[in-house]
Amino acid sequence: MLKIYPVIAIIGLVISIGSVIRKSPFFNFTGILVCIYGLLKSAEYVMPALPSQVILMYMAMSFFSFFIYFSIQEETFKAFLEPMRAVFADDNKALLRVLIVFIGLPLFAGYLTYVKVKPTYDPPVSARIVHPEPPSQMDFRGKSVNVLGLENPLRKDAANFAKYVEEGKKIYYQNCFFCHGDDLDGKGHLSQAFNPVPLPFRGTDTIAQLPESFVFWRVSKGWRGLPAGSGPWNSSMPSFEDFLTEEEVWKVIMFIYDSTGNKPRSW
Amino acid sequence: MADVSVKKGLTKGLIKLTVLLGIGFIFLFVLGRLLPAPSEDGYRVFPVIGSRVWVWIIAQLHLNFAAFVLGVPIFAVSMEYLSWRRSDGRLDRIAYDFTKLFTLAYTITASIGTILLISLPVLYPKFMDHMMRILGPTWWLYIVVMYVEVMVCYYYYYSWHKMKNNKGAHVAIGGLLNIMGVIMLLITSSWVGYMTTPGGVSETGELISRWHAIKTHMWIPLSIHRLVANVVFGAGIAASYAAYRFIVSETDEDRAYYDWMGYTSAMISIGFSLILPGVGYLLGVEIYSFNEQMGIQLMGGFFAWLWVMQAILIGAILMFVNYYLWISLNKMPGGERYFKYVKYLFIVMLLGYAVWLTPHSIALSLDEARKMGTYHPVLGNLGVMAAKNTAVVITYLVTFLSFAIFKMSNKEPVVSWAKLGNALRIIIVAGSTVAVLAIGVYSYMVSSSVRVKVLSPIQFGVFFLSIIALFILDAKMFKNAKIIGAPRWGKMPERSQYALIGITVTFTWLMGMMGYMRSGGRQYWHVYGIIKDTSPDAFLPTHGFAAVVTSILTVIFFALMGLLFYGIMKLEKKGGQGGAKA
Amino acid sequence: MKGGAIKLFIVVVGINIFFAYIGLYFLPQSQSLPPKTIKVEKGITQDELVTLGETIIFSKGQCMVCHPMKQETGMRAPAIATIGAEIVKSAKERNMTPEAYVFEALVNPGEYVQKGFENMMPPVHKPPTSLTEGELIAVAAFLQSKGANVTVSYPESIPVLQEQIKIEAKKGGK
Repeated sequence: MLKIYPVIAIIGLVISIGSVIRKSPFFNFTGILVCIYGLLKSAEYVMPALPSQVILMYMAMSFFSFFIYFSIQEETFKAFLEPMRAVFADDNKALLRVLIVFIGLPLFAGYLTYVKVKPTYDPPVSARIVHPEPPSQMDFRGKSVNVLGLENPLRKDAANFAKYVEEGKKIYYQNCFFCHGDDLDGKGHLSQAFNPVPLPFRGTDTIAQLPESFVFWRVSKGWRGLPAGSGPWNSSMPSFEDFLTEEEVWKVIMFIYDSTGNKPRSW
Repeated sequence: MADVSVKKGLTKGLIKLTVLLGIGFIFLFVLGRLLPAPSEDGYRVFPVIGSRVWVWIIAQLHLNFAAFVLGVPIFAVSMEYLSWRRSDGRLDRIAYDFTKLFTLAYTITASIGTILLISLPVLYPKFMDHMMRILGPTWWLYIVVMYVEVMVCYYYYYSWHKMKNNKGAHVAIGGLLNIMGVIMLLITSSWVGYMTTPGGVSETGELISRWHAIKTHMWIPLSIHRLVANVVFGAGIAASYAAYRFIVSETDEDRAYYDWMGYTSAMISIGFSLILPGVGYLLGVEIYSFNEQMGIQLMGGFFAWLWVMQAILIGAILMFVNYYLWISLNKMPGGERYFKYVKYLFIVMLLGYAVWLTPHSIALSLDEARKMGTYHPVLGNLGVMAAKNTAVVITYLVTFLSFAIFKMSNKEPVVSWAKLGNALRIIIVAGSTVAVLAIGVYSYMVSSSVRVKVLSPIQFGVFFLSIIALFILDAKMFKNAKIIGAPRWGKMPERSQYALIGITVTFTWLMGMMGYMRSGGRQYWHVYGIIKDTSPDAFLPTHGFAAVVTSILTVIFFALMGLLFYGIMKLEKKGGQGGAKA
Repeated sequence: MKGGAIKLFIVVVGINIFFAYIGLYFLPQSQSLPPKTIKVEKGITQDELVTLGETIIFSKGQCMVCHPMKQETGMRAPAIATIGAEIVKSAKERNMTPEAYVFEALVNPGEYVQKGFENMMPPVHKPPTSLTEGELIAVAAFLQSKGANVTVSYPESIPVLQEQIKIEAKKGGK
């Protein structure tokens, strides 16, 4: 994928540097703004993209501030206005003037209007909490379990660790594999049928961020256990308490942590 | 105008005030009879725009003018005092110009006050009944003080030239004027304080202690906050008056004088505005200690986005101020040596501004919300108080440096330790910047109560210490300094004057918005927790609506101000009191 | 200079239009409506109470001003998500029934403050929040549902609630 925004930033920088040499503050101003825009937009390559509203805010501020900056000294300001004056007062540039006023401006206004009235197909905003706070108590097949501070009882039995993981693997392939995938990456055979798609276990932002007690609750209760803020209707995770025993759930949890190299959060 | 004898002036003032009050009471009486009885829960509806918007606009206009006529005398008298001690004619003239401004503004203030006096009891009879029951006596005291204040003010103005040879007594009268002004401010603040943070009444609104109803949580901090803001605002208006006169003046002499007046007023305004965050902090603490819920609601609840707006506005004000100071370097002989520093100041300013207007939680499009949740992982960090305090302190520091540069730009130090002094200045600036930044970073790691109660005050303390140190250092260093050339007052491009106007308009707008927030903090209560607002206007409007109303009333305010300025010029022409004489 | 005054006025109007524009198109637009009193009917089920309680803590109760839903660093007040379990724990510690404890926490919150937090909650049955008895019970039910079994009900829990209100009133008299 061509990374367009850094290129824009560089173009802006080049314009700016070039116009410093040519002593043309107006193009310097334009170049700086283009460069800032490019930089703000390229932020998305190193972090989540900046919200468009913030970018708009920063751009407005930069426009205002740099305009002010270029009007401090009399000579600079005169030079700054020069290109505009040239366009609007120079006899030789009548054509350019006509183009700007009768074609450029209407097109620009038309574009703005288009953007404003263009229908969008975004569903209404609902910020879904993917990993909500679990309840402190839950029922597992009618038995009351304290989720808060719950630990995996099988981990204490370190001697049989490999055995449990092996058993967990079997359970995984009998129950979970269809959606969560052969590679535990959330790309199982059925995964594309769901929206949102099943979560992967690899990587550092799903189970690596969660304590085992959470995973236990989530596996056992499935979509039905989710609070309203997490949109239970947006999850296709079954309630595995209906199919597995407590011990089996713990085993499969050990398997998914072990085979992805993740460690449960313990804090 | 100044030919009018003192006695005549006083009589005129007396008659004006009495007539206005009379009109007010007659209208109240007549309207009370003519209008249909108020609705069951005690409201009448103002046609078309509704009672709330009407009272909102009138009250804010009245407050703007009141702020002006209470704020300007403070530094008008200070100027007169200085001119008296130093026998400086220019200071005397500026003081007289200020006095002219606020004396004439009294009439408009009182007229709008009369409209408010009629509107409130007619539109909100039940609420006003309650207020009169609880704080009635203060209202009668208010009228008495108002009479005294107006008399003193008119006397002060009309006796200006008469008492030329008795300056001490005249300054004393000015002092009395200000004391009266402060008393009026205290009385009105007690009303607003009672509405927002009521005390001294039972839960059903029966009076228990009148003194406690006056001495509410908000009373003193609000009064101090208003007093300081009045000075800032008054000076700002004076600066815009100077800008107006600068732009319309036809002689170089006039331009020189009004340039100087604009500069002086703007610096008074900005200088006093340095105290405002601290005073506002005190006010905030009092609101929190009255009711935590109201405090949080104001700071982070429904009004959270208006603080972003406030950041935009204050950032714009500081940008305008710096711009004005940087442009001013043009008129200083030797100023061109300092343009190279402006670049760096500008960059710091820009970064500070950017941090300051970064919101904590961001209105996101769906797509964006999917990717990151409500808080942006990086920007979210800039949106919190730790970053904002740091940014504002740094931008204030930059503003002070711009001011310092302007002051020293036409001088060359002659003291033997000039080099050492410069090194010292760099150390102070760099040191305080590092300290402020370090505290800022550290405040991410502590709990919010430590941040608010310990670290923020330290941050501001460091700032004040460093500007005091710089001030003393510069005073010592540039004592008897070689002066490259006198400032060429009046040699300013016109756009600098627009910056001055920009400061004042922005500040007025800000005042309108903060007034709305203070008032809106009560939510659906007339008197918080005591008298519920059951009118159709009990809801808080959208921010957009509030912004439009604020803009409209700001424009009305400036239109009236424009009339006032115009009136003064007309009077000057008629009275032969030409501005160019000084 | 001729026309300077007019130009100035245009600048003033322009700045104001700009600010109004920011207010209109830059800030989120929502109104804050005064809350409506919710009538709780006799014989309401506990599930309905919980749902009602949830609406109240987001609206009239204004609980979310201080209480976050989920644990977060630097929070002002305990998180709601696990508060039911906390109620059971603290009630045991103080030898009270969970029912009495949850009402005490609502109408007399200064009596017992969770460790690590400051005493800053107003009694919510008094103005300005002024929750009614039914609303208080609904909120209590919702809080209990966050990690414990709901034991309050309407109107059976009213005496327990009134007892706590009485204790609070006595304290205020001192």
